[in-house]
Amino acid sequence: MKLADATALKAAMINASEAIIAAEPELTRIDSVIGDGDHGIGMKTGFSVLREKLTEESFATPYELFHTSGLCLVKCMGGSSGVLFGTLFISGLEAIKDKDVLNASDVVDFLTKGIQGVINRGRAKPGDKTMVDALLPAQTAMELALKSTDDIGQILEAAETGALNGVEATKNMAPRLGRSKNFREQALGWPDPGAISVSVLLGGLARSL
Amino acid sequence: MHWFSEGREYYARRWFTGMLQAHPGRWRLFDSQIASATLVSSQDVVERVAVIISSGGSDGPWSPGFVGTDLADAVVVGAPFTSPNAYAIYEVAKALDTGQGIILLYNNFMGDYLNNDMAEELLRLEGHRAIQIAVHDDMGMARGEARENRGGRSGAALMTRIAATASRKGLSLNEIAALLKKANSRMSTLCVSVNTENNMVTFGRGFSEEPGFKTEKMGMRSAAEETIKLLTEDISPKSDEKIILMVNPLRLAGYDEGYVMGNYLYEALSANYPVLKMHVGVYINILDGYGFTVTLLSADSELRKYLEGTIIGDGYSI
Repeated sequence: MKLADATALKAAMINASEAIIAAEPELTRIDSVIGDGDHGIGMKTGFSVLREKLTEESFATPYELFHTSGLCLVKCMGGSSGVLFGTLFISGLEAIKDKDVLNASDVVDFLTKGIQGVINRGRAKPGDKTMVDALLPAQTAMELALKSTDDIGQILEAAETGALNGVEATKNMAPRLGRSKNFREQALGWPDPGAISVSVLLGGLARSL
Repeated sequence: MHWFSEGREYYARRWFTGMLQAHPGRWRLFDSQIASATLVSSQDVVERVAVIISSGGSDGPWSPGFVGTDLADAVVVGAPFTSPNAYAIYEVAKALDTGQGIILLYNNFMGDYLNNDMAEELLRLEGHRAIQIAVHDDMGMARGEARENRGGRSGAALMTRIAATASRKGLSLNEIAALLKKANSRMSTLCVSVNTENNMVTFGRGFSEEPGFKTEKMGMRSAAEETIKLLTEDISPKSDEKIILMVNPLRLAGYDEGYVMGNYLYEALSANYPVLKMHVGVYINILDGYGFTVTLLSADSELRKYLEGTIIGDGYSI
């Protein structure tokens, strides 16, 4: 898809929500080993409410859709994850303010600002074994893909691949932040659940656009 | 320790409902969700900056007891030991903004920061002017790092008072933010916890029971002198400043002991510095155990304008 309006993007957000809900057992399994085990349930709860809300409501612009989505995650998921996944959709809003449809470049701009928002707010550095370790390679891959294609789905697929490489890399990282820092030793060899969620989300968006 | 007999999710709602039953007309419950509750002062915000405080949902009087006449305008708390929700902060801030803007005041902990920072962005996106201030007075935390990395402690009580008074005196949002930043940089709190069986005194124990940085056997007078020494070294009072001394007994220290320790501290401080006033009472009470948190705020003539007189809150004066 080369141009996406609010309806197409809404379908993509619903698809991404379903992907997150489906990933809950895996997220829980991993977080139970290296964290306090609540990441998967928190994500499932937040994205279940989001899916329901998006199904019921209609949106005139991409701005409205993502504003509502971000607010919904902040409100219903709560905790650090709610804030950070909400930020992913909130911090890029200025970039799409007056647009009825988004092209590939708009999507990259929107997500890049969202990713930078998460990094600024979360204060995590690359290598800290957090969602940032999936977001940054996703951003790089998106920017690279934009040079050779204007298809939104292909660009998001590239972002997903970048994120998955990041997930793989988190296996060799020791956590510095959050509760999983208390499990530094056990965490080696396991991927970061937040990073996995990023890849699942991008994959869910990609396959619908 | 807490006795959460019916779970933590609705603890804040029940807590605030009890406050309303004990003090009818003083506040109103703005909203309560799972793991979040918001209390608003019955004194309206009229053409001035709104002051909104937030914290994890247990203990006090700060934060909920610092909402009311001449105090903060609203408070948002999370579940016990869990940060307040960004959406709840955003929602009440929107409702209270008169166009003069909003101060979001909280103690500097990761979850509290994340949620207030998010709320600030959500508010700005919709055209509200909001400035967040993270109180970072705990000199026991992040030692050797920048002051801004420290956690918040009892100093939040003085910061709330300054913000509330400045708002009522008609200061603008930017002026109040600048005033609070100054107070934040001129204030320090030290936790002094005591094992009364062997007189071992530990300095710098953290809000979440992080160990202190120094433990020695000493009596009350020596502990008071050492506390004042450590705190004044940390803030280096200037010649035009006068100092507010605030003594907050921990859970097992009694009413009398707060004043006795206060007297020792006052003597040690006033030997070398001008004392503006002393507050003794429970402002933030989270640590089980015996001891005190001691706060010094070194106030210049500008800050002193917003610390005049005494405000009577729920079970304390400041």
